[in-house]
Formats: sequence, structure tokens, C-alpha cells
Amino acid sequence: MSNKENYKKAFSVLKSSCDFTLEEKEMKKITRLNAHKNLLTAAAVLLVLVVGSGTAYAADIGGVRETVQLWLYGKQTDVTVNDDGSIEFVDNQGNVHEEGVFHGDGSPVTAEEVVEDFKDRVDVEKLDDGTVHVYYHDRDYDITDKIVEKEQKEKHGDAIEAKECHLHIVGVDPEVYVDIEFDENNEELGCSYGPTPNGCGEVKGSKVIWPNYDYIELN
Amino acid sequence: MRIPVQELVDMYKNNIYAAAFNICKSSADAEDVVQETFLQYYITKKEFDDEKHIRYWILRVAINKAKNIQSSFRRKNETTLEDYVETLTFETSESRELFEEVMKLPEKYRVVIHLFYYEDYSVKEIAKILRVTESSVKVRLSRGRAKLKDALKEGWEDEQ
Repeated sequence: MSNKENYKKAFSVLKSSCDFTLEEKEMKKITRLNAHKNLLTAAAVLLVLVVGSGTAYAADIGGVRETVQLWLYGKQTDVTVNDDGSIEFVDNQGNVHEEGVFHGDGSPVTAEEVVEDFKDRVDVEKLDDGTVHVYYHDRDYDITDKIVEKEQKEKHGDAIEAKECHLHIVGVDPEVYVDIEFDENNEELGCSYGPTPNGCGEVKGSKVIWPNYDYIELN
Repeated sequence: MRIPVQELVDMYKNNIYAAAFNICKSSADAEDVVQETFLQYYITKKEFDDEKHIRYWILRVAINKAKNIQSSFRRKNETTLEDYVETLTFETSESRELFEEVMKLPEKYRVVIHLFYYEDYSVKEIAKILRVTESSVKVRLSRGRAKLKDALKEGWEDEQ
């Protein structure tokens, strides 16, 4: 038997027991339930919308895909917004990124909403020379020496969250707090950011203890 | 064109489940991906060129959803992979060994191997689905194959 035949035979044991609701009425109910379940997510997404970006838009013929320009990885980058809610762009190293962006009810976002949501985005990149950089708007900062070992290592899929970095970036409006997790090789596993310390606070009794944020002034 | 979601469920639910399981290594998470993928199809107003286009689209959505679950805190992981494998009925011990060795591969190799050997996609098509370069797919495929050959010896034909 060929490798393909052997592979198919081995993986044919995987059967979904999914009892998918087939009636349209029921589907609508599921859609509503899903929308309800994701209400908080939607509210969170909408809360970060800030008016006035001054960013350029260009709609394709028919309006199926739109291209917007955003600061990504320190450069003005063309971002394609597909009609299924996904966005696509190519980073500094030529890697194609695709990310899903949806409202809480699962409906796709518009190009304007993508711009609002991503215009103050923080990107993290490990370069070929081993240094790790953060990008914010048109700025680039080497954070390699800001990365520290985590006290408590955590599992993250197949990887281990072994290191972390917490930054308070000022000098670019708006200032931003950034929390990044890395594996033992300084490969990024997750990055969250916002106008206030977010997500990484440890709850002790009635208090939240925030990590020590490295203060970085970008000129 | 559109295919009624009911028909699509019968046609592809096992394919989506297998692709999602390949990434999540969890039956509960993979079942969630199946549900969410069909829901996504149901609510999208997208028109498709043909059935091949639909299959490509739902697999891409499923893979993205599985990756999102994999990297989020919403993972269920009610059963360990080992316990779940015990519930599966493989035709032969070689099939079981192949399944287990594939599951030991890093995720980026597993996905490419699965799309090539299970879904019969070409390198070019896999690159399009995963939005990576063709050379990147070739490298992952080659490294995945080498690891499988190393682990399975005679149980895996040399294709290098």
C-alpha cells in the first residue's frame, strides 16, 4: 500500500459524532444563541473602536474585497479585508498572514472596523539574528534584553510558555501596555496590548497585582 | 453556487473533524470546530465557484478555527490523546502506529502532511489554504516525511 492509502486507512477512524441541527429554524436558533454567547466579545471589540484614523481605503470592483493601509511591523502595509471577515497581509519577511476578524455574532467586519481595531496594533518579530523586536506604528524597538524567564512555566499547545516581557510604551500616541509570552527560544506565543495594563494581573484577595512593566520611550 | 448546509454536513463533517483533530488533538475541540465551521458557512453570504471551492473554503475556515482554539484558553481537553486513541478501532496495529507517530509531529508538519495525504491537496493548493509559500510547504512536507520514515522505518515508504 502507498503512504497515502496507509494514511487514509489510519485516519479514517476519526468520525465526527457531531449531531448538527439540520432544520433551518434550528440553525437560526443556533445563530442567535451563538450571537448571545459572544455578546461580551462583541462589546469588547466595539469598545476598542476609536474614531479618526486618517488611513486610506480602496475598494475593489464589486466591493467583495477591500484594501486598507495600516502600520504593521513598522511599515505602512496593504491589508486585504475579505468578505468572509478574514484579513490578509504580508509581513517584513514575506510571510503571508491571515487572521479571522468577526463580530461577536460571527458576522464579518468591514474595512473601516478593521482599521479602527488594528490601527494601534503591536507586532512582535524574532529576526534571523536572534533579536526580538516590537513594532508600534512606525517605530521599531529591540526588546531582546527585556525578555525574562517566567516564574511559573505554562503549557501553550505543544509549546511551553517559558519567558515573558511586559512593556509600557510611551512617546507614541496613544501609549500602550504590552504583555508578551515566549517559548524557551524566544519565539512569540502570544501578545496582548491595550491602553491600560491588561490580562496579566494576578488576583490576590481583593487586589490585582500587575507585572513590572519596562518603561520604553520611543522617540 | 451554494450547497445546502445539510448536504455539506453529510459530505464533509468527518473531513473537518479529522483536520481539526489533527491540530487540536482533542475530540471535544474538534467537534466544536465542526459545529462552528458549518455555522460560519450558514451565516456567510459568500457565493462559491464550485464544490471544490466550497471544500477549500470550509477546510480553511476549520483550520483557522482549530488554530484559534489551540492558542486560546477555551480548550476543553476533557480526554487525553492517549485515552482517546484507546477508544478508536484501528484496522491494523500499523495504522495505529502511523496515527500515533503523526500526532507526535510538530503542528506545522502535521497540518501539511494531513492535507497532502488525507485530502489529496497538491503543494500549491496547501500553500493557498495555509497562506504560506510553496517552498515552506515543501520544507514542512519533507521534514514531516523524514520524521515519519525515521519513526516507522518499513511502515513508511521513502519519498524523498
